Amino acid sequence: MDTIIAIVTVFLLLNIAAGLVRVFLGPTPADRLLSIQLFGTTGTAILCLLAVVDGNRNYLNIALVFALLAAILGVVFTRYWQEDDEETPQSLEDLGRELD
Amino acid sequence: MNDQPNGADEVVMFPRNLTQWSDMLLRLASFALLWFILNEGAMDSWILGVPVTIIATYASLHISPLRSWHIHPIHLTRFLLFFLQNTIVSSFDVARRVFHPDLPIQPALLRYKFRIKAETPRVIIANTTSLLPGTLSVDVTDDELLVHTLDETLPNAASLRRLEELVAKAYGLKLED
Amino acid sequence: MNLIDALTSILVVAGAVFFLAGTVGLLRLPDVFTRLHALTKADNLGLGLVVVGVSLQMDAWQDAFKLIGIWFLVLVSSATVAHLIGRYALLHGYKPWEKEE
Repeated sequence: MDTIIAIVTVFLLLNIAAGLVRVFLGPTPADRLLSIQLFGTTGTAILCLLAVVDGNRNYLNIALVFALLAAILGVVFTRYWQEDDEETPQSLEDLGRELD
Repeated sequence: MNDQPNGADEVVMFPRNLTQWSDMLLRLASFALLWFILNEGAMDSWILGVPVTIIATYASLHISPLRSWHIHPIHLTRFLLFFLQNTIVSSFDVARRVFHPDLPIQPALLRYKFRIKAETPRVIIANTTSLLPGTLSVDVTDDELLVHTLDETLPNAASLRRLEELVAKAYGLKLED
Repeated sequence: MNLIDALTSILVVAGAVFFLAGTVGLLRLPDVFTRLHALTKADNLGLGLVVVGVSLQMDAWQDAFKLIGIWFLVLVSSATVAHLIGRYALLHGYKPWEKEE
């Protein structure tokens, strides 16, 4: 089991590396923001798995802080992005097709 | 406070009736439970834990006022089961689509008219929408939810309606048609 | 290998499959909105499976609670962040990708 978990941990790291391709390609800032989501969720999973691989339950506390920081990062980046932009954002009022 | 059938939010800083007291106690209990879990049940941590719990409850009043409606435990459980089931179904759905060689998606933006008036249930609906199969909430306006769907041929309207009904029931709210 | 270890292995590997789905979606899907779908849904279930698998290995019950707390936190935050990213992408005038007929 320990081997399997170790392999999955490395596999998840590779997932993050593959996700970095999206950061490079973009093309929009929103696409780059997506990587925060990926790093947050995958990073938390890696830390949880390390708790088993290392047999050290303190990794769970790191995972908890990591999850919290990922949440804050996402909010802060979207905020920052909004304020940074000179253009007046368009209204969302006439987008979308009516349901019902 | 219950004369507002759709539970329109109202800023309440101190509990005035039984429902609000029970909400306040529920918040205290939840923060205490959170502290208990984070500190792995260590008894001596309560020297800090008690004041922190009280401060957190007080701070939560500033963010969301005390509710003036009842929460129905059975309907809440039903909602949680619906939520859990849909998290699993939607993940399988997404996984099937992205692994499929043809990438079978047909995205569209849709508007859904809220029947619930209160803000907290709407926020819950908007957040849960993102975990339903094929839907992602992108904007909440006064009376509408803007949803991006991965496939417009999915029964999106039906699942949103079902979700709204479940949330309304959990909050003990009546829906107008 | 006992039963619980086997169960953990299965759950963790199944979780990894969903993480892979999230990453494949991130790379294959055509626009930011569809990519958000893949990430919020697939990765969250992936984390959920990993969390359940890991909690089976924990001796102390507090750790299992903590793990579920972590999952819940990520679930709520990623739904919120997905909403924010989607909203700002629309506000900045990005048109969602549509299938050509």
